[in-house]
Amino acid sequence: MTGPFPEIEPVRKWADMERVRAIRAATVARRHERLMATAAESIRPFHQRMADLHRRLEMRHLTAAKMHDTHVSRLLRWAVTKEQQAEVPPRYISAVAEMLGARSAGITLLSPEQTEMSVISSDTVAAAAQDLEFTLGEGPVHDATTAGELVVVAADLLPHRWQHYSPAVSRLGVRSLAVAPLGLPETWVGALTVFDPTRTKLAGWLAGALKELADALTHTVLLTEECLAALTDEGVAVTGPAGQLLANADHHAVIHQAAGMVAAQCGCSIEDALALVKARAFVRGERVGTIALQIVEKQLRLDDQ
Amino acid sequence: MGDTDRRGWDAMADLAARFVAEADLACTLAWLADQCAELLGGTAAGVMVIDAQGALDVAAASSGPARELQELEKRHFEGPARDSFHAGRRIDCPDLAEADDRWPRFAPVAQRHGNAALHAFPMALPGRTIGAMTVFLADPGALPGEALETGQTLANLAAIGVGSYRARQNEILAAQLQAALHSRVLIEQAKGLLAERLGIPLDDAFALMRQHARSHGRKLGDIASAVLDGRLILAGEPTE
Repeated sequence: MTGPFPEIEPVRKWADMERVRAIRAATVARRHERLMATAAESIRPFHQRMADLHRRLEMRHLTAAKMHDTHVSRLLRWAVTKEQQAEVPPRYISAVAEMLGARSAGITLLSPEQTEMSVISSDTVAAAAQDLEFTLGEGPVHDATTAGELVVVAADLLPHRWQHYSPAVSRLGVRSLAVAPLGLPETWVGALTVFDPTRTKLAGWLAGALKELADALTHTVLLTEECLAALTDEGVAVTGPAGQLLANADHHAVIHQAAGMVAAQCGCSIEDALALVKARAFVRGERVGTIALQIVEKQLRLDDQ
Repeated sequence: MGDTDRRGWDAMADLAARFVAEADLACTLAWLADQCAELLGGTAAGVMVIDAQGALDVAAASSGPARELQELEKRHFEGPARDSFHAGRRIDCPDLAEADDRWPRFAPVAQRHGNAALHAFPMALPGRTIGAMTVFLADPGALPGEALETGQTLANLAAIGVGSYRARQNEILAAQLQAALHSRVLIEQAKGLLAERLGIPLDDAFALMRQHARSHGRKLGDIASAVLDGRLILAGEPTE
């Protein structure tokens, strides 16, 4: 299909490109699998490892292709129903939620000090849950990047997992969640969290699928020159998957502006100012962004109580 | 230590030093191809290394013909580097005149460029091969064992170097990603701090910082950082 849906064509191309990469990796894997049958005993383990490595690469690119395909389907569904439905096209991150059969999904990008710097959310539930973790300083993203491993928290365990985050996220209607770190074991750059994956899928399937998706996101979207360009030069139009994903990123701009203003008002450090803004949000039961906006619009000062 | 030994040793030391210093990878491999051709007494040498998807690609060649031969291997999926890469072991061809069955496209072209024999050394890492290095010879016959050892050692060193360079590239990218995000955070915080301190709108605070960055040829993130820890005092209204 061409013409009527110009936003869909590039995404289709990304999917095709990933499929070509998958085929290339599979070709190498197959050759080593064949050689294994005839090779001398001593060299067989080598062919086995080469085959395994390239099967993993094949899986990574197939997963990336499926991710792009899912986004294409969502764009198509949106395009044919857009008159009755939402004005804006579906977000790329929603495709990730759909692939895992989850209600919502969110990506949180962290600083080396584990501070949230950017969040991408599929809907308001994911955004609110990510906001809670930012305010409370505990939750799935912190756990996944600290332990460096995937965490699945089923419905019966969620109430007991985190002292503050658990009850708060339950109030949002979230019953279970799963999270996987993004990036490299030496440098985790963030985490992918899915909220309310369908119950039947909460077992091994989910863990496997989430792991593959986190791997594909890391290596085909995040750790790319395109992603770096998208984050560095705001003026440059970035047209690949990273640009699409980051188009919906919230870099907490207002919150950090507010922290700067509070630091000037109170004569304290930025860290303390940020903690003050978060504390005020916690006490008032409001989102940090809401409090920050009031500070930036000069409706609220934190130094004159 | 003989003169040949000495030169081989120097080449290895030099190669290792280049990788440790994180010199440009393409330059290092081009240098390796030159050294390899010279040390082993070949007409030329070429290096092929896998790309991110695991496909063999031309990385360096010591001469135009050698580059053409590597390109041919890539395009037609046949040749000694390819075989060495896939088998994970050295491929010896002491007489290219007898290699037409093995490499129907590659062998005739190689001979036309004045080559009569070749060796391809696998570039292996634990559990996988990441490429191969081919040395072309003007006369038929295999190289002596010592020369083959030198060639394989250079290929091994190159494999370790390329492997660690690649792993490091991902690390660098991850760190740059975090630095880019961090810089955004600092800029917003500095905007807030300046706006409040000078009693000006946020946009003006931003313009003030950007103007300072431009006129001093510095990055906006560095200016923001300096504003935040009090190393830089900006005052007055932006003139833009």
